[in-house]
Amino acid sequence: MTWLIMGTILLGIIAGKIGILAYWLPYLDNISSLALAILLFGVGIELGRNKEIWQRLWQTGWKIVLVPAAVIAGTLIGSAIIGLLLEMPMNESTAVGAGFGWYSLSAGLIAKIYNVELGTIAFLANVFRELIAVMTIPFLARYFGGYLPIGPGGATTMDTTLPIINRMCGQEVALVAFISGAILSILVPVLVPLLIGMR
Amino acid sequence: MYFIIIPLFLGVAIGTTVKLEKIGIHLTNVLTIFGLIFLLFSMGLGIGGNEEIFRNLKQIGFKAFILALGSVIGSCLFLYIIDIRFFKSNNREV
Repeated sequence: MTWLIMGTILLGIIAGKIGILAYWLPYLDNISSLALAILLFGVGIELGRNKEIWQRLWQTGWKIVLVPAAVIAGTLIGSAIIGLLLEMPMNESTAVGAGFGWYSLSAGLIAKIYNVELGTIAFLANVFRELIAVMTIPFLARYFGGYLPIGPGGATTMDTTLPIINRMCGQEVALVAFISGAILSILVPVLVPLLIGMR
Repeated sequence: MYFIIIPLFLGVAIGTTVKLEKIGIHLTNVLTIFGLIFLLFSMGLGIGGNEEIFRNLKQIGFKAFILALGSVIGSCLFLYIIDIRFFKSNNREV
C-alpha cells in the first residue's frame, strides 16, 4: 500500500512536470472532487463497519477516551506552537497536525480543498510522524511505560504501529492504542476540513 | 464542505446499518483505493506543475519534519500528564 501511494504521487509529479496530461488540467478539479467523494464514501463505510470499537470502548470504560483526547490536544497544540515559530497561519499548522499520521487521506484532502503546497507539507509531516512513531515507541515503552507510547503514532496506532505497541507494551496497552487510533481515524476526515476553514 | 460530509456520513450510515457480504467489503476496498489513487495522482500533477514547490523542497521538508516533531512531543506530554493524573495506580508497574 505504501508503495502504491508513493508510486502514484511520483507518477503524478512526473506527468505534471513533463506536462503530458496538460489537456486534463481543466477537468482536474472535477475529477479530483469525484475521487475525493468516492474515497470518503469508502472510508465512511470502513469506519462504520468497525462497530466492535464502540463495544470495546464500553467494556474498557469511558476513562479510555482520555487517551485519544490527550493525543488530539497534544497534537493540535504542538503543531500550533510549531506553526507560530514557522510563521504559519494557525489553520494551516493545525490542519496538518490533524492528519494524525494518516498521510494519504490528509494530504489528498488538503491538496484538494486548500492548496497543493500545504498538501505536500501534510504528506511529508504525516509520513514523518509515522516514522518517528516507529523509531521512538520502543524507547518510550522502556523508559516511560503507561499509555505514553501511544502518543507518537496518532491514528496509526490502530494499524501500522499497533504491532510495535503490542510487542513493547503488552496487550492491555495495545487494546487502548487500537481504540485511540480508531477514534482518531474517524476524526481525520472531519477535523482536517474543519480546521482549515473551508470557504 | 458538503462534498466531504455527505459521502462520509452516507458511508458511515451504510457501514453501521448494512451487513456487508464479502463482495461488498471487497468493493468498498476497491472504491477506496481507486478514489485514493486518483486523488493522489492529481495531487502529484499539481506538485509537478508547481515550480515553487521544487524550489522550496528543502524548506517544505523542514517545516513538515518539525511539525511532526511538535505533534509527537505534544501528544506525549499530554499522555504523560493523564498517565500520572488518571492511570498511575493501575499502569505504572507494567
